[in-house]
Amino acid sequence: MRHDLDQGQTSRRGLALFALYVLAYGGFMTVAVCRPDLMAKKIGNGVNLAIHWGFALIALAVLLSAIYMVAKGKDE
Amino acid sequence: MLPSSSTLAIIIFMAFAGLVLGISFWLGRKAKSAAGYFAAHGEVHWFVNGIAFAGDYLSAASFLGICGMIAFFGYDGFLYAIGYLAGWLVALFVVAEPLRKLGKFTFADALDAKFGSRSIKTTAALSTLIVSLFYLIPQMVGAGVLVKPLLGLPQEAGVIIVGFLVIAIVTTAGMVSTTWVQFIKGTMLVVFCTILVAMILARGFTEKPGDYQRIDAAAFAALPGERLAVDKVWSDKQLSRIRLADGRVQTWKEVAGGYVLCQTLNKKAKLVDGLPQTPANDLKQVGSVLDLPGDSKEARNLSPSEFLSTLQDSTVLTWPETMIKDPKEGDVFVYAPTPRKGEELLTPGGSSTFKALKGDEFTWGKLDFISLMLALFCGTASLPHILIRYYTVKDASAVRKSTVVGIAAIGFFYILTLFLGLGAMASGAMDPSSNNMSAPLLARSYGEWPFALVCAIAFTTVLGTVAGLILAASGAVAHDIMAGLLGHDLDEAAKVKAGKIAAVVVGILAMGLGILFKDMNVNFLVGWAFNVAASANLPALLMILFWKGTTKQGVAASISVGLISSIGWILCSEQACKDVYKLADPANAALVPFSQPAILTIPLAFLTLVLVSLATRKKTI
Repeated sequence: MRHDLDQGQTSRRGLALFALYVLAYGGFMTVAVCRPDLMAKKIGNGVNLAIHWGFALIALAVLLSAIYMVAKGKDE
Repeated sequence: MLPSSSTLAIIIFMAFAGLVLGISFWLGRKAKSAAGYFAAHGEVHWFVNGIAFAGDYLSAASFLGICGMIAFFGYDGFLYAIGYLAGWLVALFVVAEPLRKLGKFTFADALDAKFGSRSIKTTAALSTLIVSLFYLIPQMVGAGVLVKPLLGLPQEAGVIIVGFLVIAIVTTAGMVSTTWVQFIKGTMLVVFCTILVAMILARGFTEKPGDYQRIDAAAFAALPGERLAVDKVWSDKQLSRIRLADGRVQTWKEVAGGYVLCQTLNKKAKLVDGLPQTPANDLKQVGSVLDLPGDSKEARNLSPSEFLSTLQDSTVLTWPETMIKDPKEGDVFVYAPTPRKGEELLTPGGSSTFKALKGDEFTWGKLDFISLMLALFCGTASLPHILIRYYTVKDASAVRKSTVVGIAAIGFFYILTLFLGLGAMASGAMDPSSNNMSAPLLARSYGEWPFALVCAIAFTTVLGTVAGLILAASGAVAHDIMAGLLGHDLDEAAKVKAGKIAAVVVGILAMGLGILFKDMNVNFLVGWAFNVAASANLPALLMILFWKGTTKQGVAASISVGLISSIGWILCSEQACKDVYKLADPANAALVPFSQPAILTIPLAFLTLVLVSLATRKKTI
């Protein structure tokens, strides 16, 4: 029954993109837990790292999902 | 605060809610078969389905709960937003397509596609039912919260109104109309909140140093009135009480350099500062900036980054709640004015839940944070009402497209919530006793129109989400539990009929629970639902998709262990002792060291699946 699951190359690509996001998300959690002082550091436009990282995680989610959609669309 | 209503707000609200319901009935009138009722014939356009994904997901919890948490505690509310969105990537990259290829209508179908086992079907359906109920509670609480200030009705009335409306939607229309309700509401929510954020940025901040008044010890000693002898529970918190000539009881908190005047509310006896709660004697609206950076007294027309950096360098007046269990008066809630630095509020750890994050040592509190972030990450892909949406579009490509549209809409909205919450924090319009009300009260500070619109949108949000959840739960009952009990599948008409009866029962159950949990932050309740969903459903789902050694006994055992262990843990946690059982000393009463179970119960469910599968493998080959 498993042959119809299509666990081919495309899924591996999805998992690679997923791994990238896990790194960004896990990194955020690690810094929040281990180095909370870094989260308060102001960078760039005067806003702290916590806000930047939070927004970046949201933007990354949209970006990675769009890349996945386009890549899979080309495969088919 | 007491409910207050305005005719304009009620008219706008009724018109909007009526329109959405009318459209949903009209669109849903054709759905008679099971495929139409539970999966909208698989014909929904991917863009509509994508926005409906957002509509489903941006529930009362996202809108009311996250805004409220940000308004009261700052960045900690935003942590939920980050976690909720992250979960979508698990759904898209790992679960969505294989799941769609396996299933038909429900999560249980998908799990059962390989084995055809009744035990899996029944356990998975039970898990769907329980997770849906857990997720329904905060939605119902949110409904009550909205109706209270808008229609001037008690919170219980809101829960009952939503319950009946949703039962009407679900039993008459099914998935087509639910999808359209979600689409309309998702669009309105994002568009209107964008406008509201533009208004917040234009208004910016105004310094109100007079909102914080501290008197020194000499002035405190000279205050008129009778000094009350207070129980130890008050003095332990540095609180003193003075009865004035008119009967009012002032509560003063000793702070560094003097005393500050608090507000008190006895919810049961309906007393504010010791006198009956009336429109003239009610809690004062709060939330203001005490000190802006530099010498400026106000900062207007800010860009998004200027808004955040200005607040970060300001001092904000917050009103944290302390519950005092007075032996004679019962539970008295004290709100003490507390100035806090913006930089402290804009980093993780501002709320009591995550305050451990501010420290350098590794404590249980930090583990609680990791566990919650894990639950949010893993929970989305395991939510039954999100999973059923994978069957409402025509093919795998449409699934991907609609998920991307959903992620974009949800992500954008979550960025808006940070501004909405922080805007509310400085709006001077917040109710210190209800953080769930922050977003609607923020809108009210711009007039009755925005207030009515926000309430109407939020109310349809609740309607849509509750409809989706009840549909998922009733699908599980009609499709899987009934089949499991009877030993054979029902025919099409009987399935729809059983689904509708189940919808009525689940709806009534949800109303009862909504009233029982009415005082809890809706976001926190949703966090629990994610813990349960992630522990019960995700291990089974992933292993069935990616491990060939999985057996049917392993799947059923994993779901049962995940479900029981996560619910059991939650019921024994400090948060449950505090908010559900209302115990005096929740930290000591709790049987487990932290509140969010996912970090233990997800691995436990995986382990159970592997061990049981290995033990039962020979029998199934």
